[in-house]
Amino acid sequence: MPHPELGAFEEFVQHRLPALFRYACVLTGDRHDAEDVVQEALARTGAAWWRVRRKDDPEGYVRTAMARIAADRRRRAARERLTADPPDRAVEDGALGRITGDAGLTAALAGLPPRMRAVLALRYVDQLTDAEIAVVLGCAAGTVRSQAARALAKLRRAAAEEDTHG
Amino acid sequence: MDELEHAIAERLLAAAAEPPPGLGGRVLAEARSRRRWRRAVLAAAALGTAGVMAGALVVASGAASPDAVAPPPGPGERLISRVLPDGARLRALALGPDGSVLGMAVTRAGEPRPGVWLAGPAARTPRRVGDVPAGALPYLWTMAEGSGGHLWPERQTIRCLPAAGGPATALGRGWSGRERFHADGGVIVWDAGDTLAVAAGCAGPVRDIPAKGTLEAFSYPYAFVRAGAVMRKIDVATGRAEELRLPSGEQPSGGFAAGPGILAWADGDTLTVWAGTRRRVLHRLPRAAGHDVRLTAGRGRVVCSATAQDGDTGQALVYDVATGRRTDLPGEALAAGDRLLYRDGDLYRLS
Repeated sequence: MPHPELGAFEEFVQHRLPALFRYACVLTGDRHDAEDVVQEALARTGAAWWRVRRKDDPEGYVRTAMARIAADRRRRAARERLTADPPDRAVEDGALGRITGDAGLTAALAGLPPRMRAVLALRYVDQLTDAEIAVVLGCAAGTVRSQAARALAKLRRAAAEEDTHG
Repeated sequence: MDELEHAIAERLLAAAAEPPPGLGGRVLAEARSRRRWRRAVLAAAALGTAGVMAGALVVASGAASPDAVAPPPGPGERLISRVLPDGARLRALALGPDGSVLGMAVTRAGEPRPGVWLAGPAARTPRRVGDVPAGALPYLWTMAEGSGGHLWPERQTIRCLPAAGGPATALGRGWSGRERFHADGGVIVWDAGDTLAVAAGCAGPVRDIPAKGTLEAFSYPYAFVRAGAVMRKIDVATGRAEELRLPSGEQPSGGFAAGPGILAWADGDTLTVWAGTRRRVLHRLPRAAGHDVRLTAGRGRVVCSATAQDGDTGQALVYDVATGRRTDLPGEALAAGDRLLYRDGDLYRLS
């Protein structure tokens, strides 16, 4: 007979894994990194399920663990990153300009350090305040603000370059 | 959000994908592996700890009979064996003012087992008083003990076994399963959302008192309901309420406890005790990574106890409000009324 505690955890994993994996993809921007992050967060949670289950919100616990793991992981060297192909030549096409701008933004997002990306995901996807992000990531609110500001500056530069070259 | 920020949110969300096949299985296998490792470490730690404590406090770890290995009870002290018939151990989750102890069964590695166990006011061994369906075991995280009944959760229902005998009844209309319920002064109270439910025993009438917030503590006749930094002290007999202002609106990590004339809360490494007009703050609370902190209060006494989540170890701080004296105990402890219960190896000592 399966252990009832682990049974409850299995049920949790079965129901919530797709949503948690999607969240890990948002946090990391990479399927392989997402797999590592969600597996590590859920394994930690499963090992301490007896305690976690009693808390108000097991999924919130897992998501916080994922955000921390994603933010603290080291950027992998020489990782192959998928980027959209640049256009063959400049054209006067507003719609195409928007598409290439988006592609540049995607590439710039993919190039951000993990902690910066996690800050942006928590701020713009989860809609957390800087103070709340600081609690999730275990750092000062000032650090969150500086990380967000630096990330936005990089992304604005990338978007401006795309506009210029597009 | 400006246009760029909207675009960032869209790009971040566009990265979402479905999980690869087999990921769920790998997660569960890894969780099982870590759980086994954790049990082994905790079991080894428990054996080592018992050896150390034997010299200082004569802890009788592994004993099957309290009398055979433990020092005799002190004056006014009662020993309660933790050893259950199937070899599991009693984990006390509630102490009544009359000295009754209600708890659950756990394996030596701290894994929960079916069943609810009670050691009555004069009993030296616990007896099984209730069954818990296997699927409801994860919900067995809190209990309450008082003259109103012996109470434990069964999913989002509160099972209530009358103190005077008779079959268990179901209470808990509106209870979410997330807040503690309480029994004191012959009544049972629980948080029912926007109201406070007050039951006169297991089968008595249930009254609803409007109270927005979270029921944090109860000491008859006062229920303490918190909404942010405002704690409402509600007299459940008359419905009258007064407001207390807390220093912070945040939920303290160790929770609240109430005793006669006492409100206390533990947050991080700080215990704050309000007793009348006096306010005391203590630091260096018993805690360690991975421990669950439980705060209880009795007459003139506050106990802050930390128990390992998966193991059989714990420690407690007992604070005497009148004298300001603090005592550290090498096992978890509970307070209620004039009683103090603390674990001493395979025994509970009740004074």
